[in-house]
Amino acid sequence: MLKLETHYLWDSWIADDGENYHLFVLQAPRSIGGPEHRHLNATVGHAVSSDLVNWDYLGTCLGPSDAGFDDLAIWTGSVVREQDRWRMFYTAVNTGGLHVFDQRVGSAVSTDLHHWERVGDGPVAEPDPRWYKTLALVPPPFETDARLEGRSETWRDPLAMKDPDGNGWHLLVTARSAFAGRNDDGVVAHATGPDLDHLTLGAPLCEPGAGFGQLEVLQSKQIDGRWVLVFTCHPQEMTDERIARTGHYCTWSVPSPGPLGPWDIDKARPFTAEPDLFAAPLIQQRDGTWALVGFRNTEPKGIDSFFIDDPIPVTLDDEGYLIAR
Amino acid sequence: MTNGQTAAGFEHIADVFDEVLADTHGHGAALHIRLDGTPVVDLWGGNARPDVPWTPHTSSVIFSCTKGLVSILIGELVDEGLLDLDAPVTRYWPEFVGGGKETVSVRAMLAHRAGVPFIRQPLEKADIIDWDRMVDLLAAEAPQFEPDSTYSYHGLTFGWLAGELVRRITGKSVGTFFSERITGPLGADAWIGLDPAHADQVATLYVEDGYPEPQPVRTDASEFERLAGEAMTFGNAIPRRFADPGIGWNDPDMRQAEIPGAGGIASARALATIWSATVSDREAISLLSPEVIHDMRRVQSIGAPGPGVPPPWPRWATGFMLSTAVRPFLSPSSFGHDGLGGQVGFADEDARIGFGFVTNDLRLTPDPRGVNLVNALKRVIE
Repeated sequence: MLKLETHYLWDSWIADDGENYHLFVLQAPRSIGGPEHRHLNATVGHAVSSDLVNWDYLGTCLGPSDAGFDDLAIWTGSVVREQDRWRMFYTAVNTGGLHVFDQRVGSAVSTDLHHWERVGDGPVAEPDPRWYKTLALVPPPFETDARLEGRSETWRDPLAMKDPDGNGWHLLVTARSAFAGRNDDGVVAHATGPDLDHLTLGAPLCEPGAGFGQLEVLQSKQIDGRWVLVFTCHPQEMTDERIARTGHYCTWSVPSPGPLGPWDIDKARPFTAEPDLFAAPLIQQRDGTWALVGFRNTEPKGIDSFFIDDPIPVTLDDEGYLIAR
Repeated sequence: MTNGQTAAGFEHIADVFDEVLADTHGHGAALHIRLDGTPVVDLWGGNARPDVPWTPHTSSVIFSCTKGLVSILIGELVDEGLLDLDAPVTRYWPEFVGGGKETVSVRAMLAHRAGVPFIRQPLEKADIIDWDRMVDLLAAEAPQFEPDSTYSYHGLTFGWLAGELVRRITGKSVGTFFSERITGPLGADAWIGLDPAHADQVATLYVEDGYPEPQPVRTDASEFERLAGEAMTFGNAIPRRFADPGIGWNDPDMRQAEIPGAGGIASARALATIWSATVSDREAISLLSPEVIHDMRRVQSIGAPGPGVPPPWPRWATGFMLSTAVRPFLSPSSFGHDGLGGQVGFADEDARIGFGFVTNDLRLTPDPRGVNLVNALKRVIE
């Protein structure tokens, strides 16, 4: 368990260097006046563990830049091995006046997983209105003179993956379809390229209309030879029909024929063993079994659970859905 | 070298900032200006300390700019109906009595009219970093002039007086309330009582131009005149140069203590963003209703603060500093507070401007830097 007296901890992601697990976790000081303010104060904390239970907290490893698209707060990302270095893709918001409504994706590189150097000055990919909602289509709830094209209130949680067949790289991003209604519009945006510095955005990898507004903190994993997509969506971001059909849960899975789908998100089922488990990395333990490691989003219930809990053992059921083991 | 950017039409301000930066003895400075919630000027340069470049997150002790921020907190309490500016201070702080203090209204206190700009007994650092000690001393202090008969700048005592009101009403220290109400929601790099985790983010202060020689006190000087020389040092509590290496406002103990008359710490971005949130509804939160702004912006203390004090004189509203020839803000609709050494923070309601300038090159003699930057903004806006 990783719990800090001084900080709220929430979304996390993990890199495994073969010896240790490196946990990257969003953190904000508890002095900010309540967890609702944590998003504008978020930085990335780094902790190391050999067993996913006992964590050695190493402090902040990535915070806002001096200026630009990521100069206010850093949000959820992912880390992937890239030749002789590690690459982190992260979400960011900036001081430019659009607050949480201007979410961008950036990247940084590291050789030790703690000291990160940003790559370039600009965001990695901007939402393309041919497929994805931008602020030009759904403006923020206040008047602004800022540019709205190419900016989105849901453009985050980048997941970088090496193509298993050697065809370059993929970046999956949590996005909203331009062609569906609120909370029915969650899709997986997809960019691909020969390397992680030359990614081209394309059409989403799934259809909207599954009753989810956001497919957050995407993870595509192969467990015992079977691929599964795991994502987070809080009931606040679902349609009433989806809630009536499958209940109030946060972590979801859907079986997949391959690492990039295709996914029929409408068939997603909840991880019912932990209704509030949120943005929890799905990680293989040293004995080969799998576990979810995350926090519980009980903030809407007025319960403070801003810590990373011990691993929850999981497996896939006969149909390929994630269940507790 | 100046880093950062300006929006189209604001380039002239960058030219003036270049000159300001050239005039900071190799130390650093930053300027941030927001127009209706959007940054239009975001400039920084120089060094926070030797070999450590200034960044946009670099923060500095902002001295009396802190009073402006505390006054925003006071206004928030007024907006919530928790504080009546025209009620006696004793309604909230019953121990604040004696020598006529019991008649002082909150508004008069915030306009430097409470009669306790100093504390008679010499103090040490250990005293002024001890909140309870300071408010007990102030509650017991006999007024040094008849309360509300005139005004005199309550340079340090303003902070404990206003801060104790906040504490009595909210049950939280002024630094905690500041963090919870303002800097947390805005994601702003500012503190009243520095979180030690952010110590590296704060610039070291330098006084290169020296300290003006203290004027000898006349043998027939009144007690008030003698005490006036101690207003910012409190005996041995703060060195007369304010911030030599490791001491005064460079001392971590002083920075971590809640000393809201002078000890706030902020980046230029944070300062401008906080002020912007008082006049623009496009920031992450809005602070102060227009009604409270209009009420607290009315001038309360004006003219000579005492016999023989030469102009230029400041103008005080309820806690806020108003625009004057010596400290021009943008317009009569501006309200804010400057700070020792060159710091400036204010909002302008008509232009919907939030302005923040901070430097670690403290100027204790007349300082044209902030004035020139505000005049440059005036030229651009007009």
